[in-house]
Amino acid sequence: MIPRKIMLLGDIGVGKSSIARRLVFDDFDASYKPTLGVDIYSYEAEPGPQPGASAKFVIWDTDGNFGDSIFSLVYIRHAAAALIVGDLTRHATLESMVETGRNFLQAMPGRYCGFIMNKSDMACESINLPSQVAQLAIPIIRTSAKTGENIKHAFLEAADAIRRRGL
Amino acid sequence: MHSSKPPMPSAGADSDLEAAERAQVGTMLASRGVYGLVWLDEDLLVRRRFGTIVAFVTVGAPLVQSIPACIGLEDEIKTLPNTRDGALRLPNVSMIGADGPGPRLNLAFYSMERGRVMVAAHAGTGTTLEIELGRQIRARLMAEAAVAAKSQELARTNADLRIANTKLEQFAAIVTHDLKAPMRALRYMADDIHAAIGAGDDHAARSKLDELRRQSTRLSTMLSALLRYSSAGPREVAIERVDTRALVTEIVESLPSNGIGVDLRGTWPSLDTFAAPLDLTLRNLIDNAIKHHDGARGHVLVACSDHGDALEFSIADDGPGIPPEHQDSIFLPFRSLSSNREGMGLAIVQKMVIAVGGTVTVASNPAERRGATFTVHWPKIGL
Repeated sequence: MIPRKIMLLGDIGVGKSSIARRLVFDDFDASYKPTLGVDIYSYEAEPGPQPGASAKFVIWDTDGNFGDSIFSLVYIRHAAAALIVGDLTRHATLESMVETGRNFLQAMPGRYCGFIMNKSDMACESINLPSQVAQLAIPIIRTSAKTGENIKHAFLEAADAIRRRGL
Repeated sequence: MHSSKPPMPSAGADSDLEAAERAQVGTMLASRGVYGLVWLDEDLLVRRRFGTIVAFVTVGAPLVQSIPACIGLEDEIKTLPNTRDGALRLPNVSMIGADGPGPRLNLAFYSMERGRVMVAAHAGTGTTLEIELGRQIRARLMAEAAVAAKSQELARTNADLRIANTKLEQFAAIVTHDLKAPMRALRYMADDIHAAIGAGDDHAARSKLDELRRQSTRLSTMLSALLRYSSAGPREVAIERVDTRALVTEIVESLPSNGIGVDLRGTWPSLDTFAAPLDLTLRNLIDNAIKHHDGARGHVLVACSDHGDALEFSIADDGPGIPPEHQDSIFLPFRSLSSNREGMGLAIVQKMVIAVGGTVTVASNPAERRGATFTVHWPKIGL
């Protein structure tokens, strides 16, 4: 099985590394340590009830400082999917998430793109999403790297889409 | 400034270089910022490595097994042009394993003679001090963002607290206003019972006792409804089947008439609605029409009409009326045209009606005609 490349994109401090660590090692470190450059994780999803549901990923956890410059860098090449992360406690990061999602779909047409709204453990239930979200038809998943809520689900959704699209 | 540069490259166990040559090559490469080399065959299997920084690369295995960052880039690496500028570079990457992060590498892939591809790996640029400084600057930015988020959270909590306090005050006012009159009625009934017993009129005493029991039960029901209203919010108040005619009849019978006659007109359907708020709304308006009447005799007309998506109740009296300049302020808390009133009734009515999505308005012009008409637009649920 050929591993598929999934990019983790989003502003600094939204929890990309914590999401990757929760998925791969099932741990969480509350102290913030910014990613410099790119950290690469390998992960094999457990086989699910559906045939072909198991999947191998290479997760590219990127430096939030790349911003949209990531689309002109070598890192993004041959990515099958991007999970774009926003912080539910900082609205500006959600707006940035939407913009990055739009740019990813333009730069990498046909690839899977999902929005991850992280830190659900710290946010209230009702969040005013940026108005442009509805126009993009990108799936949105609320997660908490701290509690593990929906982290696997977000990647399995990506894996399922990658399989269905033959990416 | 402290340097983060790794030790000079030394050959791996698979190297066939002599020790002296290895040292010489290592020094030369290190002086150019190169700390590890990996030789690959055409299929990108690792054939040889050189330098401790690439010690994690497994000889004889596919390159992607040791460096998954290359996954997806295999075809590009295999077809690199054999020129000086034909390198593929992957700067500043680190492979994270269960044992922790691997070395941070700048990777460059070159095509060699006879189709061989070489991977040169050298340590990430910058000293440990520079890297740490970069980390700390970002950590400070994140801390500032966290403080800002906490401030927002605090502001939101304070706003919630203010709303909670307001609700508490409103609840206290409702309890004071709406339960006081029935409590007073209970006291009067007790006096009547006492008088009836004193006069030896058992029949009257029993009748008043029955009335007292009924009123106390209603008080208890009202109190429960208010408690539910206070704790759950108006939209979560129980929805019950209400016979509007029976409700208004019961309200009229429970109020002292003071010489004021009350008539019912129009269509009075039964409907599922927020029963307690409707009871309190109509009770307050009818009670106001009676108690604010300035005549020994008077008349109140209570009408209901079905507008499809809503019921419209009107309570019209022939009392002194409300001057236009007071018609806005009467819906504010603690505003009453009578100095001896608490002035909460209409504020409560408006709050109830707005909470269920309706409206309440007043029409009156005492300069032309006596009386006032309150109109309540009460939406039906689920339409």
